[in-house]
Amino acid sequence: MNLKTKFKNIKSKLDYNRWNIIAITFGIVVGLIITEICLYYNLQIFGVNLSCIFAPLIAGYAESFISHHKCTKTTGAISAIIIFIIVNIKGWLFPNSPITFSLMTLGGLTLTLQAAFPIAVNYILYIIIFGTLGYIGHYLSKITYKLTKKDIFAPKNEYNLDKIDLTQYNVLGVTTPHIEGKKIIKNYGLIDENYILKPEINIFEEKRTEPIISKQMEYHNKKITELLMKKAEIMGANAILDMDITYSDIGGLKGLELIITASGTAVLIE
Amino acid sequence: MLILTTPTIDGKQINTYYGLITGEALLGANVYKDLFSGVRDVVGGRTSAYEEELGKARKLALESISKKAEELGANAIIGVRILYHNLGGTMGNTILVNVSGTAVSYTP
Repeated sequence: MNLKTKFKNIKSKLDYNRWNIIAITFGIVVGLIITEICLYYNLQIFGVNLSCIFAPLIAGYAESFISHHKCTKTTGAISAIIIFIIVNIKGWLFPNSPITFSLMTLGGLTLTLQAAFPIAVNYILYIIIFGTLGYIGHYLSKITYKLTKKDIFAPKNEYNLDKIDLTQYNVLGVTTPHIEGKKIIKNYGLIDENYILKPEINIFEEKRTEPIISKQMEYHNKKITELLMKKAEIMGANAILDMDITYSDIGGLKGLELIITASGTAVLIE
Repeated sequence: MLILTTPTIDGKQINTYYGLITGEALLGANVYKDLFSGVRDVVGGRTSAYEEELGKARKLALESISKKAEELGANAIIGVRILYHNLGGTMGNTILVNVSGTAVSYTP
């Protein structure tokens, strides 16, 4: 009884998806015809039969053509995957036929998958593969510089914090909204300063298990404070209220670029 | 050293303002800790390993500003703000803890 209802359910589903199945079957048939044509005329590039690439593509196209016209939803190029599997099984089980598993077959697989899942495969192709290549290059350059004993990844600048003298500016910077015991005579309004810097941190550095004080960041903090104080002094202010220094990552995927911003309210106090 | 997030110390007179002081601590997130925190995110529960690391970095940054304030001759830091930044994009595994405040001296 239970089995019967299940069978009925499957049958009704099959009826509902009739055009989908027809589309997939049509795709498989078209793909097989293309494979046979390629085999018969011996269409090869670098010893690899073209059917590896074209049969799944054309099968997928034929299938989505039908499903697009007859159904509201596309079937997602299932026949392309089936054709690809059939072609490969044929190549492995009948070594006499000129289909071989090689780099070109991998390319065929990628194309097939791309037809089925475009966004995921494009992500893999463009971001993961190129990203990995980029990091391999990074490592190779690191190795060569280690061999030639030139460490370009070492910090180039020695950050001398004493070089910046903040006392030369007659400006008081505070993070509070007012200064106790002092009256504000004049408001100059909001002032800000920003610049872009490249952080000297290595993502792949393994030793960094304990938190460290960043000398580079301290230097840039002091430098941007200096710039803001200079701006305030030129305006005629002698204090900056509600001062704030923030960093934002603007480097995108690899994110090794920071924008440092300092802002505050320039005022003249007693 | 008195560290406050408020702009004033209630009931106390601030005598001198020494100005803005900042402290930074960089934290490299450990790969294995990352892995386990990911598992815990799925399973549920707090990622205590990460919290401990962040706490350490924050402590270091606060210690650094206390030291700087002491050098200036201050006995309190008011208006303190703590900010966290993630560096390194999608591959990002470095956290920057940024602490800023105003060094002052008050009559206790």
